[in-house]
Amino acid sequence: MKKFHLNQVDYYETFPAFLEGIRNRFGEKPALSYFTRKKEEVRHSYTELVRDVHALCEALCAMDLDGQHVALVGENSYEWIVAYLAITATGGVAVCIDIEQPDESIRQMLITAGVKAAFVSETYLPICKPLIKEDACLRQLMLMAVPEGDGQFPSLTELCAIGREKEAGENSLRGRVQVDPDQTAAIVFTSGTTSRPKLVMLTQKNILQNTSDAILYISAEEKVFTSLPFYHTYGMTCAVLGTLVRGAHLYLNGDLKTMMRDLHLAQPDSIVTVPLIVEAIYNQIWLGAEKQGKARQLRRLLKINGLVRRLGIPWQSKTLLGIREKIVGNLHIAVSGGAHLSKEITKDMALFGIFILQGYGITECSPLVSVNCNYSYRMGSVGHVLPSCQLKMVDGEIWVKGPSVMKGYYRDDEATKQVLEDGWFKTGDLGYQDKDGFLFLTGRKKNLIVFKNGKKLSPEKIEEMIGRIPLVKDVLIHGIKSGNSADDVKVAASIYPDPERARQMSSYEILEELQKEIDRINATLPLYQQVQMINIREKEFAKTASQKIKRHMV
Amino acid sequence: MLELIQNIIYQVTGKSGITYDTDFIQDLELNSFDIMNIICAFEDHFDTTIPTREVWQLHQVRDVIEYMRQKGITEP
Repeated sequence: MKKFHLNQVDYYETFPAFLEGIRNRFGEKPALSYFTRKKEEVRHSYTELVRDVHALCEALCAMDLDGQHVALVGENSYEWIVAYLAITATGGVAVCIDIEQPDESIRQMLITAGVKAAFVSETYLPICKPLIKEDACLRQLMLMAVPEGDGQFPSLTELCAIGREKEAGENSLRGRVQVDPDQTAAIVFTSGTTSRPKLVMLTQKNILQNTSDAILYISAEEKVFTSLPFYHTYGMTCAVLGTLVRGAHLYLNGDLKTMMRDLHLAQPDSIVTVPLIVEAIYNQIWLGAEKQGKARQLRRLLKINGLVRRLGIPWQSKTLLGIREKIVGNLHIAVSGGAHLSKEITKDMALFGIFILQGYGITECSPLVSVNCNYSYRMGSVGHVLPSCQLKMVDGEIWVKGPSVMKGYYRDDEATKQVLEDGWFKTGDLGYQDKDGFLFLTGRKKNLIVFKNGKKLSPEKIEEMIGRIPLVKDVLIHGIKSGNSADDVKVAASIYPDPERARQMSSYEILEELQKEIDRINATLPLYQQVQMINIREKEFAKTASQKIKRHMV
Repeated sequence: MLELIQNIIYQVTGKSGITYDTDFIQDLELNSFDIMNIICAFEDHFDTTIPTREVWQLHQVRDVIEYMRQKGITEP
């Protein structure tokens, strides 16, 4: 195994200890910033952040919501982070809702996770409101990112004000809360191998151990930018908590619409992101060069610079750096995970002066399993395995054991048993480690489609929806290559129509009917999950003895 | 309006030849980031906000024009 430099980092086992630690160590340093629509920066120091979290803890205790399942339904915001930290610091479970899902799925997630209360942003209030009924589990909504409540439900700002008053009095409730490192702190939804999503239970220690382990390997410098959704562990653990634990300054953005604008305004040193965004930055650099009529010059410079580097000369073209600076300022480190990033882009970005650190994680491992380090790096690999993780290969499949591995799936012992064996988590991903300890991924055992934005889709989910169309006898959903990059995937449906119903119809009529029905289904799905290609089969699919379609035969 | 949309799409993505029937994903092969960038340019131009959840319902150029009409958004 290769030896390399490790960064210094603090370790915490519970969120109350984490909050005390970051407040005492980093006090007035800037912790979190974001930009308003008018491009004004709103900045919160570590002292302010922890003060807001403690006030909200007090309010949650006063409402008997400590130790309860409380959901977060909203876009990335400062308040989302305050709410997450307050729920976990009062011994509760932060139920992180994927807001890109259709309305009905969001409601279903809230019900399945046994949520007692929810912090919601304005957009999601009409979706969650119908669940508040006399006999329902969900009994309280609280509004995020608005100063005042709507009369019926209080805002987080109002709750913090109430909490601050209570803290000032003699009846502070927060101090009475006992939090155990092994109790569940968050429930995160993940695409399982079936049509139903799985609810991953992560403990206080799972998350905080992973947070600090990641920092041992990555030096992301002082100003960090992220637009990753916080409802995924990658965004919350690696970007948010990973920045806070080392006292750095995080610029948060939660809307792809304003991502490039905020990136310009923030001028960060590093970005924690997914391949989709790395490629978007790469394309922006090229677009900028084309508009300036410098595309040809850029191509030539990249070629020369690449050749010089191959000879082992660490030469960096000032022109290339200048082009990068115009588009993304001082950004020079990008941590990329969630999906595969092409080698060509990684190489070209290095020539532009942006060093890309690819990593590998999975929600059930809180999520990080391995990552390339600033000081020990191999292109094409997903880096070194975290020091607290044990790894073994079973028939080529990666199994992981360690303090970041989940407790199990919520109320699903059967599914938990399938993936956990003697503390080992079976990732479903295939790979190998080289002699220096670098991990390489080679494929997947599960039928997941992985998109450039790091999102995963279980084909069974869409197959179930399309299978309900009367004209469809069998359907198989798969990802097909689209565009130039290998991981640029779009969703395709291979359909074998019901011969009885299709007998009187022409091929054109069948396709038209299916397209109409699939358009209706697409309207309920996030963009990346929408079926963009239909292929009609004349022959039935090859099937196994148990009548399952043989996927690899298609 | 079509000319304005053509200009915005060209400025943001470098793609041209846009008609009413152009589909952002099928024809222009845009990803979610490109689409959001276009919408951001729209918002700036018209000084309005289009909720992200509504963006995914706009597949073709004609959908955008119809959306603007329904919301009473006109050129400044």
